[in-house]
Amino acid sequence: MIKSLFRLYLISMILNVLFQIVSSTCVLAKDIKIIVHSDVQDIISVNDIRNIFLGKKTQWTNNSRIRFVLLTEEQTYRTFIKHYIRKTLYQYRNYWRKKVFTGTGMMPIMYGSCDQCVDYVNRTKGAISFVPANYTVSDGVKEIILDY
Amino acid sequence: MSRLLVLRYYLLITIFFIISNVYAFTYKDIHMHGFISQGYMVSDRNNYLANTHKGTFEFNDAAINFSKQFYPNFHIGCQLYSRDIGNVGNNKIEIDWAFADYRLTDSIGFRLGKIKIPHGLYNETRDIDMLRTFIFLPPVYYDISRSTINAMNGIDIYGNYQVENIGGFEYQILNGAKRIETESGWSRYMERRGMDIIDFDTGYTGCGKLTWYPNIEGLRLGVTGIFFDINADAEINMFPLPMPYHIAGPDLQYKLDKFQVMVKYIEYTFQEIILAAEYMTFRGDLIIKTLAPEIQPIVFNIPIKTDAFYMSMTYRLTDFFEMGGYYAVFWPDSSDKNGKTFLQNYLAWHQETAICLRFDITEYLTFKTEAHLIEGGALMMPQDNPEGVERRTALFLLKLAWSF
Repeated sequence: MIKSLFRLYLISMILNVLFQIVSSTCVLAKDIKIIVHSDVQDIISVNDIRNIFLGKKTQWTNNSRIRFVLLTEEQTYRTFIKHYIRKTLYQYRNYWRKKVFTGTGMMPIMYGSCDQCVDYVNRTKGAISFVPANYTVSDGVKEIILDY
Repeated sequence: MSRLLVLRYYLLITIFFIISNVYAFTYKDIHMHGFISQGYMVSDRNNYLANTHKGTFEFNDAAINFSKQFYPNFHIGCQLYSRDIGNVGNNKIEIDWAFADYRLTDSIGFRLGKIKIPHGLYNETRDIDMLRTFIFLPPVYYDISRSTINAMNGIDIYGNYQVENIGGFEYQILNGAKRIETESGWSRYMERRGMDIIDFDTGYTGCGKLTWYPNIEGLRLGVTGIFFDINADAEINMFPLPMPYHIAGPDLQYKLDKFQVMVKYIEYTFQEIILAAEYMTFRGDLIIKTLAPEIQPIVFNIPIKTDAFYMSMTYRLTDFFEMGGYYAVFWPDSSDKNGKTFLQNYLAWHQETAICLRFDITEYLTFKTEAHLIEGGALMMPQDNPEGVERRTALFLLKLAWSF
């Protein structure tokens, strides 16, 4: 089994190199601001953001629950999913639909406006979301600088 | 309430959601999602899974699920599912899955109930048409085997780990028992071997899944395994025994001993392109014991060495349009890939090439069209093709699916 996995890994390495040659690398979005509830003290990496919004990381370092919320305003949503989750919007929706239709997860909370997202983050301990970079957030919500 | 009435209500609910363009329905914190699909199949030569030579609409499925979150790390849910494909399913409503899910930490969680079996990349979503490009998944997920590998009752331990510089790991260990209906696809497969199954008895079933997400963007690879025994009573319809063999009650017992189904898989996603490949092996012993009371039992031991693999590629061009294709091969006996011991050598393999076009008319409504070229008769049922299985078949499929 280990030998097979190793073979698959080698094949994937070759594929990856080929694709990297014909593509430009992704850049992180500068148009997005990540916001959290004021009680969140963690240093968060881009990888953490990805794992949180994929439902793989569900706890902060103090073991409190992470509650993420999606802003579904199309342009911001697409940019966030592309640059932080590294999926297309279609792939990301399918990822959660798979969880819903296999019973292994519930659909994330979604709001259509920045005000609703910020309000949710403001009143929910352990909450995290994203808004456009030019949106001014209120007290009780803080913007986090990601650890690259 | 009759089954037909339930389906009518379901159809009405689905039409309501299509018209209202709502992605989910929530009542007192209970979330409801579902789908319904109708397909059409037609083939030029052999009948494949249904009476396809004349064209058939006996190709539909529907599901509705309910789930409720009690705490951020605890939810329960269930899904009802109904399908019809040829002689299998016949729109009987079944519990597809139903379990409680408690996630203690990221690295360990528990599920208890009827749980989908991890088998390769896509088994858990095999019935959910809108989650994939293809109408028919490759033979690694062959439809006849659905009853054997779809879901089981038991306890599931799962979780994920992140290891710096190596990547992420997801695991799943499922232990319990499996029930197989006598009207299932597996019975049809055994019918092909000359046995009419009158009772199934499956004992302990164990499954495992390990997926590795190395630090290469878009890559995942791993392995799944299912381990179980199947005992069955059967009547002989054409099995070549050295004497006439019809007795009152079952003619024989058969046992699939130490049955193992392993799948190794790799999937690579690069922007809108998804490449996947899987290799599956079935291993075990088929032990057949005759039951006539007046003579000594005869015992046959037939080793099973079945292999299958496929390579696929899909490409989404726009939000509206996606296309894909795969090449797959299935060998019922991988020690005889050229069919030397078969009466017709092409019964020893099933090679399949498929091309699919998918149109997302809305986010909830999809239409697909798919063409298959099949060479070989290993997966063609003789009972569907009484005049003999031909070597080549072209199969054309259409499918419309709604989800909410």
